[in-house]
Amino acid sequence: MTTTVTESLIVYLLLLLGGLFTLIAAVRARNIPLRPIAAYERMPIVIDEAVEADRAIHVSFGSSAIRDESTLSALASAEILYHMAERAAIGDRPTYITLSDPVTLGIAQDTLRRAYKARNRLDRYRPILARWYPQGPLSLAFAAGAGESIIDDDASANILVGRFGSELVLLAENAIRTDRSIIAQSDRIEGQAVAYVISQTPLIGEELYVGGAYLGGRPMAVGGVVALDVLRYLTISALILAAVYSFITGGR
Amino acid sequence: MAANRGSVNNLNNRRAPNPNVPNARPPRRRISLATAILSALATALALITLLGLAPLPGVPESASTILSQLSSILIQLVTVVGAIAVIIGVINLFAVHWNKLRAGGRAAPYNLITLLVAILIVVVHLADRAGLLKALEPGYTAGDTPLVSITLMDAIQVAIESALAGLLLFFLVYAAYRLMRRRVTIWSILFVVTLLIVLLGYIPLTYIGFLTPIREWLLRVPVSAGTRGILIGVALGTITVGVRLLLGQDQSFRE
Repeated sequence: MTTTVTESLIVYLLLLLGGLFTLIAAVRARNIPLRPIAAYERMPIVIDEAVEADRAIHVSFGSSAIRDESTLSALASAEILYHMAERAAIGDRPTYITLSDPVTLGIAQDTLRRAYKARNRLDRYRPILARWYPQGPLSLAFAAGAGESIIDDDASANILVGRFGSELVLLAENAIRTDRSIIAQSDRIEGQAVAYVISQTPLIGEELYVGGAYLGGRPMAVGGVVALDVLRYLTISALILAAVYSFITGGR
Repeated sequence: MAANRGSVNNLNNRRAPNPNVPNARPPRRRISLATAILSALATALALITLLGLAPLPGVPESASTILSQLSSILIQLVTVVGAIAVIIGVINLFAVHWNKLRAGGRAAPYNLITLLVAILIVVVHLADRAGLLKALEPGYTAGDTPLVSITLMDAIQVAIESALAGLLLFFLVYAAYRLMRRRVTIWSILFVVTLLIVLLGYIPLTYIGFLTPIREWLLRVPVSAGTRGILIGVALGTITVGVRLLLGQDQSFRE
């Protein structure tokens, strides 16, 4: 893959600005209020409900993979998994993960192990709580297998974050039919549209990447939220300026 | 936003984050030597890959070439790791379904079928690779790629997945109906109305032909704008997570 000089400069400029604002904001993280996101407010509630009802918790990463452009969405999903699994570790029923990328399987197992360890319940951890379902040409084999496990494992909370296409609806269908809680998101646009329909409190777009700040509150994660906001406003300003410039010059 | 105030270093006694304490400081975590080494290694490798893929302007050509080669090697290593991980995935698949089968339950017959089919396909593929199934391949000549396992894949998996894909529309419509029952907001009404216009706009009937230009406008302007907005947001989100990774602050390195 070749990158032009301009593209390289933009990449490094964005990384530099992102790093700068993350570090500056991390210092003052305690005094930075975060705007409410319904999905993150609901996540601890659905986990608590599942623990109280003695039911399992299902987290799915879809086809997020630690080896392609969805690597960072897999890492962000793993962070959400950690906080949810840690919260649920006090219960008797497990948190289990479904995914379709075998490399991400290792990350999922390790995240789950760390979550159980953090609660001093490592004896409850089993590597098979992270489950790999092979992905066919349309991801529907994965969706059918993972969807069936919602009923089979009696999962009352379903957190479906990462990379999904329209097969997300097939995965969630069992949860929809049995009125189980679903919090969904996808970094693909067709999956995001489905997530909006199937979930009462969906995560939209970049909201996936701020899970660490909302669920864990680590200063660097909060700094990341500020950096994301700054980059967002800079991008919006650049788009408006480009549109005004194009309007003034007549698109020349 | 919501975390526990505390500085308990012992992980075993660490208190859980308390979402009800506002402006609380998250608990401090002790960073082990292994964690520090892992973070440093990940940061260094990420930087090498980045510099190799997007050469920094001003860096000498020779240095860029070396970085580019290093990044290619790293990417090739990832491919190899991916191939090995598939074997681990298959073992995981067997372990999961074997345990479920032993536990019994409603889905046990499906677990048995999954295990048997998986074993069968592995055996067929190995036999195919060894050239033992050449007699089953009409018109096979020496040196051709074995086709039996690929044909099985096309005949079974692709056919079943295509059938499931056909069902997706009905699941989606049912989900949209549930959406309207669950939360009737201006946005859900807008969503369903837009969905109906787009779906009906595809029907080639003359008396609803007026929907076709509306559908095209919807897809070209608001849908396209929304799509770009979400994708730009996702891109910015990945940058912030990438920055955290480059700073060695990713959660996945920590105990």
